[in-house]
Amino acid sequence: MPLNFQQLILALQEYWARQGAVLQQPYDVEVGAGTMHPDTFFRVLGPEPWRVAYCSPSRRPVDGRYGQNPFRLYRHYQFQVILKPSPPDAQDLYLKSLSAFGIDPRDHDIRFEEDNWESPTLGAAGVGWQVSMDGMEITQFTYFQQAGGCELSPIAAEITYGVERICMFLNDVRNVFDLEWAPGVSYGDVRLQEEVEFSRHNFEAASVERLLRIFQEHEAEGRELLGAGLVLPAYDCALRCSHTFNVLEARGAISVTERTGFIQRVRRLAVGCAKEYLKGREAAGWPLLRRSAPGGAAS
Amino acid sequence: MSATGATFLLEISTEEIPARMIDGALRDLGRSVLQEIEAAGLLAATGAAASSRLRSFGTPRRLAVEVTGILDRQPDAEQEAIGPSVTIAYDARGTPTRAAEGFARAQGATVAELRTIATPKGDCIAVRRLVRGRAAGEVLAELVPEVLGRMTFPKMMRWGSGTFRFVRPVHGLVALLERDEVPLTFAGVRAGRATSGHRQRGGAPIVIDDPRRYVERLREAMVLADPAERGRAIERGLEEQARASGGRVAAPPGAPPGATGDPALLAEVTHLVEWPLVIAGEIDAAFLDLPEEILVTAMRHHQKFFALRAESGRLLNRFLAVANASEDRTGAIRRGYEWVLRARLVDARFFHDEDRKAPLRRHAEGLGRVTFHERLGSYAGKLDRMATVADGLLPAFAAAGLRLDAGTVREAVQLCKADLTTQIVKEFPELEGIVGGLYAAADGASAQVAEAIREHYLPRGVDDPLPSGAAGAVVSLADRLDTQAGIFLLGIVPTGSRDPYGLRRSVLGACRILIDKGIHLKLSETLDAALAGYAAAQVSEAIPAAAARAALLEFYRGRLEHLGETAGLRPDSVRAALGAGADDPCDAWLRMKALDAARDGAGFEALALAHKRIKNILSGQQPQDLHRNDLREKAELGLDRAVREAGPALEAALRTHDYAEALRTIARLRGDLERFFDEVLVMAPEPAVRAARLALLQSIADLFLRVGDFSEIVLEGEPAATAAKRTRPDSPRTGRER
Repeated sequence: MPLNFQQLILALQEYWARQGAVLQQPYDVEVGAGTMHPDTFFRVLGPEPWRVAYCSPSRRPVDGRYGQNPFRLYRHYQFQVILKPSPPDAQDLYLKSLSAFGIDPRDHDIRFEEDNWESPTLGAAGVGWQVSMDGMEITQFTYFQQAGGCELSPIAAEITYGVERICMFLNDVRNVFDLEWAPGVSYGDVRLQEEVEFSRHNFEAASVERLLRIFQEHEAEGRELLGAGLVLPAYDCALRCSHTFNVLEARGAISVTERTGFIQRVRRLAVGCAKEYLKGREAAGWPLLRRSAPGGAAS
Repeated sequence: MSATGATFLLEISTEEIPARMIDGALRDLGRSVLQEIEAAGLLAATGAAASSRLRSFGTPRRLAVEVTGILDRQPDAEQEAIGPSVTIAYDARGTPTRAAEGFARAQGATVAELRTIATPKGDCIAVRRLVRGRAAGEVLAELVPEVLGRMTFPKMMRWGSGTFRFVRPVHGLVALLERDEVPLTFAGVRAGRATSGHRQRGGAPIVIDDPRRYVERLREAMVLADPAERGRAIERGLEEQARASGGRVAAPPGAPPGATGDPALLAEVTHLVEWPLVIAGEIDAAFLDLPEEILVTAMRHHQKFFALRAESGRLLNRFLAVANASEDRTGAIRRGYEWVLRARLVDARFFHDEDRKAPLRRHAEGLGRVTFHERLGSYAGKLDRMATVADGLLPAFAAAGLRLDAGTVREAVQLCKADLTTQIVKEFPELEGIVGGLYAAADGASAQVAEAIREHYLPRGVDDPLPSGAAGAVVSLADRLDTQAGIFLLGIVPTGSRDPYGLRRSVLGACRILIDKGIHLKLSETLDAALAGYAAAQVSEAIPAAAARAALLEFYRGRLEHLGETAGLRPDSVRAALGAGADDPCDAWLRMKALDAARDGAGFEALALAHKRIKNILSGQQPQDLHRNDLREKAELGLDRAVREAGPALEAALRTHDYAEALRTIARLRGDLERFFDEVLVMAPEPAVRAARLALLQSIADLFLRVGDFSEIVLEGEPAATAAKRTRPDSPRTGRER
């Protein structure tokens, strides 16, 4: 029997825990991608080693389809892994993880096709691939080169699994809402109402005027906190700005020309957080450098 | 080692290299390795071209080169070390000084071995040494890491804790000179003889014992290392499977009519696999009611699947895919492909249906919010300007016998960018124009409007077809002229490799359309109209319109020159034609062709020579009015008569753009010209006579310049550069010309 949704997440957690990753939990501020979790965004900066794995709900307001499209969701789950520094066997570790959820690579067409990733909002960029299995994109595999506007060294490998896609594929299910989440409970049972209501919120009901104000408030708060040296709280503000911007965009309230300006504003905040974070860690003597990293991942 | 030299094999294995970069990387690597080996004096002389010693192999996970005919060591060389001047090296009595002794010691020689040689700085002491050539392996160990370190890729990266930069993380190196490992290190990896086979099916690491068996050993490990062999294998597989499915591989949307096959996709998939397996799959026939272009694009864009067409021309509900596998044992791969394609098609159908909820006209209304260029405004503004430019082009089209209804053109312009706001084009940008055409036709627009929308992006590239219809040509021209005008207004001129807006392609495309449709226009006026469109837009920090116009005209001229030369016309023919003006690109093209064809005819050289002489004589002279009363000699009266007779005949030929006839008319002046130069002294002592003769020559030069500047033609035995230079007025050779 192929794994159901929760078994798949459990299998991924177990596999990466065995590889020495810290099992983290989703962040409780809305994010568009697992990369925005502080345990990725900050930890890839500076010289300290780090291995982490977590499942991250990813909210993409423009992708909402009122629960009617079998493949597109306002919110989907990514399973995110960071390996820093990227080990020489990063690809092999990844391929072995497929076996952990019952895929025999010899029976499939598994490919690494060029896909470089860039997040203007985070001042981040990486080089890598989308991994496809039998033509299905199942993972983004990226070597981070830059984050928060800083060149990185050492380089971290980021592995991002698309949990729904993989699960649908494994189970030959054609509609995401039909996936089995747990025995007797479908993905739709757990999430359909949320998809419908948030699609309405993002496309129709959200108050543009209020959101614009909220964006400004979070931005102002973030700047002040940053000035006070409170990096993590300031970063939360950047995340809230980013999500607010995404809702405004879904709402059709941002023209193409205004778009760049909004992205710049979030980026300024995020880059500021990154710089301050580095200063703080350096002042603390890069704590994780002094002992072997979690799971022995230190170089 | 054999008599013809040793074989060197280098393989660098990495994580998956982007398909688009592999060919370039192999060319680059092969060329550099060969060059360095040759420069090191390690290539045995066989009389064959150095390039015949090189073979390259590559897959997504490895780049390899093989060089044959390598000497086991560099030849010994005599080298002369030059020391101080003799005045320092020897004292007055000719005894070596301490300086000479020091030099000899440093060179490991005795004072007795010192010689005196002449150098540009005077006589110096020197010592001749025999430098022993080094063993090939030793030289290669030095040269290879340097070559690899110099390689560049469109995008490079770092990995792990290292500081190396390469296209992807480096995992292994094979460096073998015959059966010997060449000891070298690159990116922290030591070279040896082990490499890996196919990732999933290659088994244990493989060992290369003989460079000649590289391809064979990899083949045993399920890797086809030779891209050409891989490409052929895929092509064969596609053909077989297509035949079995009762069809042929379909051409991509936008390909010329009647084209089959998908060479671009084939080239891409060749570099996505190490061992290709062609697999046929099926889709639900219900998807066949989606427009073909959308269906084919959904297959090839994300999935890189080949669509199939039946002999009848209609699409089949089958597709072909190329897996990186040796077999599909459980059928999982085929089922996976079908599953994914179905998801893509469901998406495509959703986008299509969403798009079709409103007519294309309504989509066009959203263009005010789509940026054309951040400093040049939105697409809505662009369309307004294009409408005016297109309108201004209609008389020139009519003059070429292409009558167009102004309303039709306006409608096509208004709708031509509307598909930029559709979901399908957001998903598949390569369908811009094509989708607009489809939707317009579905809305009931006329066939001409739909075709114009579809064709207005043509030609996209150098070998791309041109708009077939006149309406598409007008819209394409208006679009190009508007973009060119806007970008030049920003002061941006393409230079070297920097052409971010593809203006070279844009201008070349405009010229090709004008030529193809036989449209004659005054480019300067057309560009003025295009530039004037931006007046209302108040572009920030724009350069003056007149400056932009001048720069653009110069740019067009450069593109016309390129067009002529790539068409195989001799460069000086092209220059000669453009020397008589390039304001009407179609006209300039016809003159280039006629001139290049006519110049081999009898007497043309004499004309070119005459033009050179005339220009030389006239250079630096004030223009004169021709007072015929001052002409007195038979030869000059005869020439004047001939010129006056030629005038109307030439004008008649020019009116019909019959430049062959125009050139024949000019050629008929040859006899009178020669007699004139033989018998008449232009620089006569009497000012009035001299003025009349100069004026006569001026009238001939004017006549010539209606077709070309023949003085640009390089005559046999004349170096090209001087010929070009001599036409400049600042290098006069004149004086007393007869």
